[in-house]
Amino acid sequence: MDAQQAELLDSEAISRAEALGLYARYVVEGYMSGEHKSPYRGFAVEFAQHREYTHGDDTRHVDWKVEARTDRLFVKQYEQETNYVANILLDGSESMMYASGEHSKLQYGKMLAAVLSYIILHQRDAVALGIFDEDMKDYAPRSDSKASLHDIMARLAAFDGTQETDIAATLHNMAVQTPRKGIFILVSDFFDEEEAVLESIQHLRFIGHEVIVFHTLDPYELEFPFNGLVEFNGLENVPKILTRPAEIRQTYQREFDAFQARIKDGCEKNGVHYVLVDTSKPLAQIMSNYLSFRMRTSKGKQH
Amino acid sequence: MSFLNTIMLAGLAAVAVPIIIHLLNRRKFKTVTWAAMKFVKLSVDQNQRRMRIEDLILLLIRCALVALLALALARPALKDSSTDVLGQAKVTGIVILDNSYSMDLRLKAGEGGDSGGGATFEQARKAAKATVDALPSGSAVGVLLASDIVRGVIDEPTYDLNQAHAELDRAQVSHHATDLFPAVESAVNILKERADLRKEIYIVTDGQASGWQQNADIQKLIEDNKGDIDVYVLRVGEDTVPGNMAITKLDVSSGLTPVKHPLRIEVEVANRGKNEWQDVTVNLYVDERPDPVDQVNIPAVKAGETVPVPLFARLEKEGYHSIRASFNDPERYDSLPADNQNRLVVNAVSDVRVLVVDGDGAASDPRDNESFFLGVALSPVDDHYVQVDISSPELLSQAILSKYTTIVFANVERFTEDNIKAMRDYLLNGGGLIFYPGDQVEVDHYNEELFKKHGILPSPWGLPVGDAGQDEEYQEFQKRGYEHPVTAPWENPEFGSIGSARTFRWLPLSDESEQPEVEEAGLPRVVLRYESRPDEGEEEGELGGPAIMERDWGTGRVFQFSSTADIDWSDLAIRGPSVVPLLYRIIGNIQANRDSGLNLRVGEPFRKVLAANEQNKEGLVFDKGAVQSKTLTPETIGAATVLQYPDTHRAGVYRFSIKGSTETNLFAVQPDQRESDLFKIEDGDLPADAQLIKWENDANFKAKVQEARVGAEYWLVILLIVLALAGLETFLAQKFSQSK
Repeated sequence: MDAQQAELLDSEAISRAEALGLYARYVVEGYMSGEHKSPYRGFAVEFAQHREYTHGDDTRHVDWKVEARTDRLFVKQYEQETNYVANILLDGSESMMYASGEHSKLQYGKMLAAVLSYIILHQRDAVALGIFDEDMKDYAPRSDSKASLHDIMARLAAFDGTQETDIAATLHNMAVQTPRKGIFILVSDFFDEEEAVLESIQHLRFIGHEVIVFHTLDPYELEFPFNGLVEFNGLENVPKILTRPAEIRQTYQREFDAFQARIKDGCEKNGVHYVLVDTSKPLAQIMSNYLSFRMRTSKGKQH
Repeated sequence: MSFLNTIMLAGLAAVAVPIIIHLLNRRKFKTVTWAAMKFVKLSVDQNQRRMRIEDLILLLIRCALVALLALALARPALKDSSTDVLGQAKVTGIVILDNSYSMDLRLKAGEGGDSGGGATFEQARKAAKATVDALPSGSAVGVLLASDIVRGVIDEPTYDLNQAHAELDRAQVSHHATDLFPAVESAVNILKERADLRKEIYIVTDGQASGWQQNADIQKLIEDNKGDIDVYVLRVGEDTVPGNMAITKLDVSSGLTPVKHPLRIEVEVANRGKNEWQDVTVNLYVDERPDPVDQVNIPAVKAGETVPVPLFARLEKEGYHSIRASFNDPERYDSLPADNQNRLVVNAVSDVRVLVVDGDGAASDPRDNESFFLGVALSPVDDHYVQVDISSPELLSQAILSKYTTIVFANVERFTEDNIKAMRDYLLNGGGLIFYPGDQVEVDHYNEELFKKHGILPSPWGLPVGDAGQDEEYQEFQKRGYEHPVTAPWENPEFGSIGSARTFRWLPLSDESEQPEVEEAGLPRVVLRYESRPDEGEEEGELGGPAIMERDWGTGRVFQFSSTADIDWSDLAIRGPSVVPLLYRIIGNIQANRDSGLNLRVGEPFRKVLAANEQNKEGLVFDKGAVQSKTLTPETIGAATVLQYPDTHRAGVYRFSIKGSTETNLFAVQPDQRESDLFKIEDGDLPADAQLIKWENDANFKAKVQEARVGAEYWLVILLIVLALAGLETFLAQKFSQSK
């Protein structure tokens, strides 16, 4: 994240919808445009058709001529357009509040969600945003209107981390409530029951959803760079631990890498895109890496 | 195991420091709010046990480091260890070199070192130097020269062993007697203050029995310090007792030394060997002239016998003369030269002036005067060298007193304050006073003024005892055990008897009175005691109270009689053979005292009291045989200014003069006669806890001492362990802190 971006998005700014929105736009239009032919191409790679209007579609895209002829509402189809609904699910549990640097994982996740929402809405796809911990705390229902972007940004900006996580339950619920195929974008640190989480992802996949996992981790969680005697004061009501981290660093890293690998393997086994998000890295870099990867893999599918 | 620096053991308490630091450190931590607790917990669970053990190991090492450091500083030592881990432990040694004059004994050829025939002292010097050489490197050594005094030539042990060698080379035999106890005591005291493992005392002596006269005390001293100080007795010299003849006494009988009068010189010859010697000739020399002025032949002197002989000399000129008595052929008797002669210095005078102050001098018959018999006794003929003047108390003044050697107060009723002041001034200038009681004296006045207030009288006078008007009840004088120099000649029966004089009435004297606190007054001494008449069938009576006492006052001397000068209370005055020598010896004693002690025992300091007009003058002393003189500077002792010369360690005649004066005085230093007794202590009688090493040759001795010296200090070993532990601690701390 360069200085300008950092300026745009200090911790306080993330709690303001306008700033978040502006940031998302900046990332997408400014920075990314220099690297890709079209920044809008990330998700809209399916070939489009006329389709029937459904609740939440932008009325500006209704083909009124067809309506005049048929009395039914059809939405204009574009080449790039898909009729996917992207369900962005952001883990808002207390563990996401951890920050070694300027931004907590939650704040990073908010920015990530904002950028994704911006991209998706600009591709005329629909976005639904859910922020959860033990259960769904805030939910913006699907909308393909760019106007809803503000609502999404406002919800993201307003949210504060809360309780312990239960990712699995949230995903199962979503699977049940969202029978129509769509994309589930999960932003979380996955500090939860791993098997249950993977099982719930499998559930989503079973139904036919595409699932993308943004495994959001703080660099300190990856590196565990502490020295001296440290008392670790647990988020999510875990008892305190006093230890000399330098002496257990290797064990920690081994355990943590294993954990990360299990999530990744679990995802890949189920055909889920796994993206490791290091909150110390520029968001734009992560996004562009992922989007280029997605384009390449999608093109591969077309052939 | 013993510790040489036990105070450092308190440092063991510092073991608590690492524990406290450990505990304090556990309270000093950063707090981190953390999300991935699961993984921290997992990691801690896997490492907890190991980390605790590592913590414990480090803590133990750190505690051990501190404890061992304290232990090293406390300098632990194993005295009886036969293994000497790091070489031979350093020694702090004190070499006590006996330099009494028995060490001057010439050895038979072949025993005294390389050339043979040297003195015992040369052998002792070699032994002492070998002792120094036998010390392990890094040792310190002190050197004490021991006789009846201790001279610490190196009384603070030095690491410079060359200095010890040099001092031993310089050491000389003195003419003192031996008494090793003070030297051993000094050595023990020096070593006690040292925090060293090995403390050793080497007594290098000829084993003369008199040196071990305080053997029990020496043994106790050694025993009390057993385990801390090792004592070695290094015997040098011959095992057999050599013959030894000695001139043990040389004295002028009367104490008075007038010119042109025959002086009777008392000489004692002692045979301190095991064999009788016959035909022993003693010569008397005056002023070191080659020809003897008198000679006496003693047919035989038995082993252990002391024979008194009189010799006569005549001094022609006023002033100081040295008199020497020596054997005609000393080499014949023995190999110890120091006691084969004896020297005396006398100050010859043309006349001796005595003033008798008569308190009862107004009688019509001069024989009733108190002073009559005194005058007759002291100056029997008109041109006698003792000149007696008679005066009355009223005519006393300082100007008159200063003309006389001695003032006699006979039955004087009382004194005015001026009289007393005149007496004090006279005594301060070295005068002599003699007080006789009588029926005129106011006893209370004497006791109050002269005893209590001014401390001039040696004793208060008690209430009169006895009745002068009868001749049945009386006391006689003591007939044996004369201890005072004035009466000592009567110990020799040939000198006559003093004991038979009768005293019918007297004012008792006491040698146990509480003494007045007068700075100038010395301690009172008894000159002569009474003796009760023997009971029927008994030969001797019992010793009674003092008849005559004396004390030094200022630089003068005061004698006090308990009975009269005339024959009112006692018949002493008409017993010519007794009273004349007694008075002469008293006056002679006063005269000798005035001469500031011309004849000293070795070690006794020479003192010259300076007159009022000489207060700032320095003095010069020429030691016997010394080329250069030593300068004496005035010192204040009590009320007097004196020149003092303390280094009278060798017998002989010394010359003394006041700077700027042409007059040269002499004084003699006489050897200690106890040292003539060359009998040796048996090996078995030496202190049981001292190790005896007989001198045979250097190498053997060195080996013997080294053999006895085992054991070592362990601080260096511990320090090495501390260093190793410190290294291990650093290594482990680094190793343990590595990430796992």
